[in-house]
Amino acid sequence: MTDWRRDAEMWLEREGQDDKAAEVAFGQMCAALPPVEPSPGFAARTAAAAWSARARRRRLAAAAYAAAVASVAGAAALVVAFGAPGWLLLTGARIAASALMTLLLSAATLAEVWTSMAGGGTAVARVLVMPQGVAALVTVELVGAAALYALHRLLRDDVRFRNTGPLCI
Amino acid sequence: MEPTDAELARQALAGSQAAYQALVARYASAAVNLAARLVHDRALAEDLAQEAFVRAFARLSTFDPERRFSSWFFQVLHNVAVDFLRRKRIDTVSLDVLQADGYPGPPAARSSSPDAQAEQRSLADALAAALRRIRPEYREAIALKYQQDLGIDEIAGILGLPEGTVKTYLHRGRKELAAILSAEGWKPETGVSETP
Repeated sequence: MTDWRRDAEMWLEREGQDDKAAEVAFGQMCAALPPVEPSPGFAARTAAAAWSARARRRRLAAAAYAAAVASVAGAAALVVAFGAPGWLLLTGARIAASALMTLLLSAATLAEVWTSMAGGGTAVARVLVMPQGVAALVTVELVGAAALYALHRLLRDDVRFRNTGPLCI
Repeated sequence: MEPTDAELARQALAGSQAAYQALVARYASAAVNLAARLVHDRALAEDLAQEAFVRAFARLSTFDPERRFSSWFFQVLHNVAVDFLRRKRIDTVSLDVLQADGYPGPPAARSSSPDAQAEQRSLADALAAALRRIRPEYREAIALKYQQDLGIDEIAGILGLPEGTVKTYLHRGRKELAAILSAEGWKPETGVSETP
């Protein structure tokens, strides 16, 4: 029997009996587990890949930086060449004002709805808090229950009457 | 005298590809082994390990030389593996699926005789299959503890878990592995003596 096999059997044998010994045996077995080796040239390939990735990142960063600089420089050049584009500023301000108005109107409507709902809720709460209100509510419920009971009785009588068969006089 | 990991990392940051290659070579086996225990595919394990080394290089400036490079790197590898598992939804598989896949198991054998090699390979396959059937969290904790020989505090740091949780994972993982292997008949019927 190999060491590895013995370690495995010892671990399984002791599992559930002696936790410490089982852990030691399991550790010995795992330490002897044949390793999965990387393929030849793995380190060189990986280091080269890391370097390529860094070069790519640097190229991207440089391109983004150049684009940002070009945008700012282009805008500045346009302003210098043609003066401040007034129509653009006016249009922008108009759109911003319109959007702001819409936003404010929506907020006002929402606040109105909220206030109405709160008012309704407060009124109901006020009625419920008053003893007269509670008494009225209970009375209405009792009347409703009594009406339902009466309706039930009437219907039952009606069904019983129909099921008695033809009337014999 | 061999340069330390921190020295190699510093040289790599300064622009030495050879230094980073040396650092990769130092941890390549551990990285591929750990990844292989998580994804059970040698080629995929190499890809994940490579991705981890590339990502680690991109963040090398954040490496604190006071810390162990292995702990820091395994944390990166853990994140790469978790990202991959989340993307591919690889979790646990049944033994039937594993056997149908024809998983070849680890190639090397320590013993020289053909019988011993066959036995060792058979056990290694059974353990690899059992590892595939337990939860990935248990599997990774076991691989870090028993194959990479890391301490509980380091594993907790890598996995981002409290030490108590790591201990629980290790304990439960080992119990589950034992239950699987015992059910498959690896547990001896009689007691095993400690002496050969």
